[in-house]
Amino acid sequence: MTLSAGEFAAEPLPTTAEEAPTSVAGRSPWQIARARLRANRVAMVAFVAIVVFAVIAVVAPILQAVGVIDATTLHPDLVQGPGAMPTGAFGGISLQHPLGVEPQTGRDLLSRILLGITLDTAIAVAATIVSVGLGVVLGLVAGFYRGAADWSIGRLIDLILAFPQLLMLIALSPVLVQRLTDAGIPSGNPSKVTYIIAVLGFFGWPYFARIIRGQVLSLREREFVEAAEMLGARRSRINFKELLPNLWAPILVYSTLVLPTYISAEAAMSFLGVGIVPPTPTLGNLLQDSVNYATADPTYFLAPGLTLFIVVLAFNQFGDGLRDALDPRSDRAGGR
Amino acid sequence: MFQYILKRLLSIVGMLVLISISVFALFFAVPADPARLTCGKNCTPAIIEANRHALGYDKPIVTQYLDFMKGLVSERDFPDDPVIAKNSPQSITHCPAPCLGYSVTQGQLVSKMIKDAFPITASIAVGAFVLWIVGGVGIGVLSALKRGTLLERGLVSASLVAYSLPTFFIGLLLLNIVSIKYGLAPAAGYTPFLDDPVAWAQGMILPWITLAMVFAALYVRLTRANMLETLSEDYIRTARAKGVPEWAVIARHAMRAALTPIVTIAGLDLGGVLAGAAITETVFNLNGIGKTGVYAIQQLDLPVIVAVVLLSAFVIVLFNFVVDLLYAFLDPRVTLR
Repeated sequence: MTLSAGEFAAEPLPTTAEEAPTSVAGRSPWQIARARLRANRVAMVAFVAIVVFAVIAVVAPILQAVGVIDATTLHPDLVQGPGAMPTGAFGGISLQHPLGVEPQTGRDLLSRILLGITLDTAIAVAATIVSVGLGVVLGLVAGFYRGAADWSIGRLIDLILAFPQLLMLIALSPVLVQRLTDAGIPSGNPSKVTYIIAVLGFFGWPYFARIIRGQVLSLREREFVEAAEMLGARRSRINFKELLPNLWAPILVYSTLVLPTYISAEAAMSFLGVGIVPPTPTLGNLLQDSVNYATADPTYFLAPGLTLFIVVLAFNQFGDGLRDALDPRSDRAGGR
Repeated sequence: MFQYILKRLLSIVGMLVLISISVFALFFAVPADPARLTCGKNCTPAIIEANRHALGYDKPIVTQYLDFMKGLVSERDFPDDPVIAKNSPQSITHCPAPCLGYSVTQGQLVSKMIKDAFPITASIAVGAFVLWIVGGVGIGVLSALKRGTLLERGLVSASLVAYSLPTFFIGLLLLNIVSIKYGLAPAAGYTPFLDDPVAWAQGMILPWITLAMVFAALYVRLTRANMLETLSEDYIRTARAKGVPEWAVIARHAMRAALTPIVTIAGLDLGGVLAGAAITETVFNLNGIGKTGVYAIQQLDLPVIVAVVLLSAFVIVLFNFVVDLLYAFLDPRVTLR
């Protein structure tokens, strides 16, 4: 090495190789990834399913408001007998009620599932944003500053991961929901929704922080970072302009993979008795209620269950495809 | 090595102390009043106050915490009150060390409840563990060896389907449809293994299948990916070139390297299930650690909640440690520092 670092630093080079404008023939990493993703048929089908669910999630409350679907009106005329089971075959399927009606109340099941998708998706997206936000910030801090910051964040992660998560999710509910209500959030379901988002986010961030920290530590050994250092780039420039853009891929992949786990978690919390309570529908509380009729009215049990399954499957498949497209080698390291 | 173990053990103790402090701070700051739960409908404020005092809930939270920690090494009495002890000794519950507290709502020592619940959780965990390791790793290896065939695609898709099914939905399907509606499997229930091994296994079969399905899917994917990578290594080609029989190449050379990383995850998952399979236990109505915890939470039975969370955390931390030791033992490249 005959040139000193100082000689390089004297030369003002605004762009590095990573940021250089792509030439006409070249393809950016994102373009390559998109092409790979397009070629993955399973992932594309899953993507279409996700788009459909996203549209449902957005449109369902509007349809409810204008009266196209009706998740709340009771139809006592459609249920009968001891146990008030739906009249007619397969849980009372008819033209007005394509998936039948709920036992006891006679509310339209399809409407309730569609509206349930809205709330479930909203909770899962919000919880993902919370855990990704916390995880990325703390992971970056640990990876950038190392030393004491890294050590303390690492120990905090160890501590949080040592808690039995599912038990904590339900155990904290009586403690914290009341606190949220005291803090001014309307009591009942609004407080519960806030609580679910908060705890899922809180117990979810350590996984993100670990991934981001690991990525930062391995990226900073790469040549382009070395080059930027040689060019005299400041620490902050390296952190935010060189490293951060390279972290979007893992953030995106793990967000897609963690979102469905939050949808299942909402359902699990409902099942264990701390979820959102009817008449507000969620896939979780529909399933929880339908358990009582699982043998007598299988339609009521299977419809929300299968919806939940398809949502989770679509996100898992798309997340897998996304990971393969963005980093074909990652699965070889052992996946999740 | 010895130094490493010592260091880890110290950090485990530190971690558990931290966890116990956070759990105490969280739960004993609960708005609900544990003393209110001590008597039924005809409660006067005076009785509640007396019970609060007798059970020590009127002491500062730090004192309560120290009492709890002391109970782990020495015996305690509930209620711990010399006046009651003198006037009506029969109403005192003696709690020998390690004492985890006294559940007022259940009228039982927490240690007794845990002692009753743990064998159930352990039975669920051990059987499910065997099933998911054998099934998951077996299917994973098979699908790696049959790469590109219809069989492989079927196995991988099936595992993805299982991976996306929520635990309680699998459990409820098995319970309601397979067991109750069509009677294809025996109902779940717990019989101590030593009393009747056959009844024990029959009662556990549905919970085992439920948990195994949830976990096996992940192992299929991991094993398959690791096997494919290992099979493309140079040393496998070398082994084949020098005439090692194919079964030995796969069983001895490939699987050993491919499965080492699985050990870590298997250990952590086993620890997680031993810490209480709340959903599975609730679905099948088995009073293991998880269900005990869930029930205590519903009843706001604080001493039980604290004990279950602490026990679970202890199991998780312990398994983390064991896995690290095991990994260093299995993989000679790893040195513990």
